[in-house]
Amino acid sequence: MSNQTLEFDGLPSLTSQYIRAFLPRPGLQKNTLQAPEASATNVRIDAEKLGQYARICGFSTTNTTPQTLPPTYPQVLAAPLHAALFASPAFAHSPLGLVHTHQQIHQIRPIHVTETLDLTARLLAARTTKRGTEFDIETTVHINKSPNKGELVWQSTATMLVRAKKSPSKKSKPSSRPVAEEVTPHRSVILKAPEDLGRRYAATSGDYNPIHLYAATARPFGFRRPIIHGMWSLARSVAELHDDITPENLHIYAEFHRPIYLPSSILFTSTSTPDPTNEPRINFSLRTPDARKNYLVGHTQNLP
Amino acid sequence: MNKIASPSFLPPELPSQPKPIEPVLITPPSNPVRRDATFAAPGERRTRYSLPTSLDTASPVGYRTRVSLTLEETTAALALLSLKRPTRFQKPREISEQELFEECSLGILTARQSTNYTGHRQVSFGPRDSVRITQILRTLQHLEAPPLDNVACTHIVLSRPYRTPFTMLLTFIGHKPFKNLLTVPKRALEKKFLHTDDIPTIGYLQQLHIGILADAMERATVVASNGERRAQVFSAPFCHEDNAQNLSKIRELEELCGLTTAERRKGWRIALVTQTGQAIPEERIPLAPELCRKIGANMMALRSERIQPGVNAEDKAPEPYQIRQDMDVPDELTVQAGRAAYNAFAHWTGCDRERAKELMILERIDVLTPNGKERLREVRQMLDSVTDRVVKNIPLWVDLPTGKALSRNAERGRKAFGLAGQRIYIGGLSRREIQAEGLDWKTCVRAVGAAASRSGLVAEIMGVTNLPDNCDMLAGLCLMAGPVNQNDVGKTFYGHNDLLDREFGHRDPTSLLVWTLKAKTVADPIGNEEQLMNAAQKGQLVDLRPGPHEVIATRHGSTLQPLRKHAGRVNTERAFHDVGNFVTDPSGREIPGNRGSAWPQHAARSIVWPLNQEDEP
Repeated sequence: MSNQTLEFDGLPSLTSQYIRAFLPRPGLQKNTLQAPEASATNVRIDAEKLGQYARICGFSTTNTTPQTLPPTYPQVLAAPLHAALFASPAFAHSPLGLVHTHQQIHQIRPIHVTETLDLTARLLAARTTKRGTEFDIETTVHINKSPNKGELVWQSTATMLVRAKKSPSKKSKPSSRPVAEEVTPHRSVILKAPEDLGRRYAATSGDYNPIHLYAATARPFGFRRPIIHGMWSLARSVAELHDDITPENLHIYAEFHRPIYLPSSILFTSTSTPDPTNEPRINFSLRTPDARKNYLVGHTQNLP
Repeated sequence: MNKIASPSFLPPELPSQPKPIEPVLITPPSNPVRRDATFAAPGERRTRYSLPTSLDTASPVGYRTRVSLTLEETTAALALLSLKRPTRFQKPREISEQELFEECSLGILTARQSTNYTGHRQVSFGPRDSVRITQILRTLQHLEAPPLDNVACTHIVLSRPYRTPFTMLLTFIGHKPFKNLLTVPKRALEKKFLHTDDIPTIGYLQQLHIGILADAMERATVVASNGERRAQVFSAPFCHEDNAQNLSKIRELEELCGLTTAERRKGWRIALVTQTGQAIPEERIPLAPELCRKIGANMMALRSERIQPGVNAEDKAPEPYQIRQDMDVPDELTVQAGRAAYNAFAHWTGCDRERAKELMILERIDVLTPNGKERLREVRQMLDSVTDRVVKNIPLWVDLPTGKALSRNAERGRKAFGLAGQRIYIGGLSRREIQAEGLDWKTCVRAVGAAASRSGLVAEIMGVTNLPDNCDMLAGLCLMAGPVNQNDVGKTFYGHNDLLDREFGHRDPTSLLVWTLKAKTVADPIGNEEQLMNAAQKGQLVDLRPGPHEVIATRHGSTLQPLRKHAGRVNTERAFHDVGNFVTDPSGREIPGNRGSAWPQHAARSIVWPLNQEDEP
């Protein structure tokens, strides 16, 4: 693994990083994952974009901007760093076709909208699985300014999959693991994901991946209709649980099972499981309205 | 006591006190049954007896079960069935968004049972606007009572004429051959532009619904505030036949509601005004908060019960609907239901309670007696003969091109107008007697609606008292205007007599509503509820249960904000969900989406109209 570091003062433009990442890069070494670390210092929060994000993900039901960042927001904030990593000549895969499979977030304390941040993203070691090559991107957020300079406030691990090429005869169906045993849900509600949601989320997150925009732009990548960003699905779920969790020492874990085509109706359910050593664990899922197929399953827990 | 600018309201104090309602226990049968609906297995065809696969709605209702009340709780809850008007409000306290939502859930969002139509909406105002509204109200004629100071919140309910696919069908009924080429379009145009009703009882239906809503709103305020707030409802100034002097002032209220000319053209008008405020200590209703939660959750579960097991279930219905149950509506329950009806009629008309008993015409058919059976057969034959004539006379130039859709729908009416129950009431009024009494006709029609729903509520509350675990209910109500409308078709076009003529012909009666009381333990098929909750299953004669943002707006300064709608997010909370009375399959598995998700706390706990900065949205 190289130790090359990309450093930015403030966040780089996501669009330019995407263009670089999607352009052909000569000298790519297949089946290796070597990439540098990327960091951005002096990152300030754009309150207007944050407000848009909060509304589109359901964190806010008023016109006011939240005073603290939703726990999923730093992942979106760090997207240009992730794109910079993918654009690096040392990253051995094309970002096209990368599948976001898991996401872990640990929010140590809520981040105030006025705080200046240092963001770091780094690639961790890759591993080979049945489905292909998996690798993790670790992202950390530290406070930039005194009196809390250097304080770690948020970290995440996103797991991405580079799908292995399969022979046509072995084409596997999407994971159809049985839906979790029904227990009395705490919340059970059908959420709407309208057709333009991908475009609206792209406008706030900066992620204009064509698979999220229109049917015509998604089709060349194997999707019959646009699909919503995985991080919207997670953020919308966490927003629905907003009153059930406290923002300190919050752990969030999610597995992405299937893409959500737009437009869609999605069943969100949550249940609470007691944990003798910690706060109760809240399991949540996004499923088809008849509850037969999972889009996303996860849990949140406030750690001691 | 407030001074009244125009003292022309009906007597502010009731001439007689409402009679308190007493609890009546209903004994469950030795082998009770319940619905126990299940999900259709994969590949199995879903029916109206299967649980819905999911629920996607902004309505606070959902699929709910009734909640058992102890006898003590029922006794306390019965205070809600004989509320008197408040005489004074204390200085208002701030109302949270959650409390407003729950109050509206018990009021405009559910009050209409299954015979609803998208004909009601509400604009709610805070204390500052309420001062202005109170001033306007005090200038109105025919007020039921003096408007009070210190109003915390005012709900203005707007209503439009009753129009559904059923009334569309009526356009084609009662015409002469050949002439119908002209008379059908004439009537259609008159309906659209002049809001003329095909038959009088369709016009009364709008008033009956408003009466039911008015009665519900009084209770809603009490339940949502745990007895701390009270409501003062004004209805007569907005429907009185002699309200020419009120019109300019009513227009002022309409402007506050943002009523547009286009909406007025469609027939939207102010139907009633409800003002709520902090009750003075002696007028608070002593209800424990836990009891209010249970009452609220029950209100979300109550609905028309059409099926009497073993009597009118269809052949393919599951076994619980096929077996006649060994239980009956106790006579004492009918006494209490009647008492509640007379209380309500006196309350809403301002007449003496004993006089109310004389003015309200009630025919009771006891189906279990030989005479009752004979009378029921007669009523059914009368209604069927009307259907026969309707089907025979529908203009072919409309019926044939539509694949006989009109005559098929008319045939379907036979089922909708079918009467089943152990006690059947036909309620009505005599216009002649109402006039002689110096009362307003429409006000009295509204009062009949209130009386019928309140008497039904007696049966419904008793039907959840000491409710065993293996029962859905012990008694229920079905409130119907269909048989009356069908009879009115016969009266208007084919020279039939009124339903009430046999018993009360000498009084020139007009029947207005039919309601049936049923003792049974199994709730109606869930498909009947699904018609109200799911657009894909919507029946032709019903509308979906609305979400708050669809029918309620709150006014802040000069802007109107839909209740619980923001940034594309609308209500998904089921009111009183904390009680947990959600329908499940026998193994306890819930219907996906049925439980809903509570509105975010920061928004639900926010104050709708802060007392010191009320104009800010």
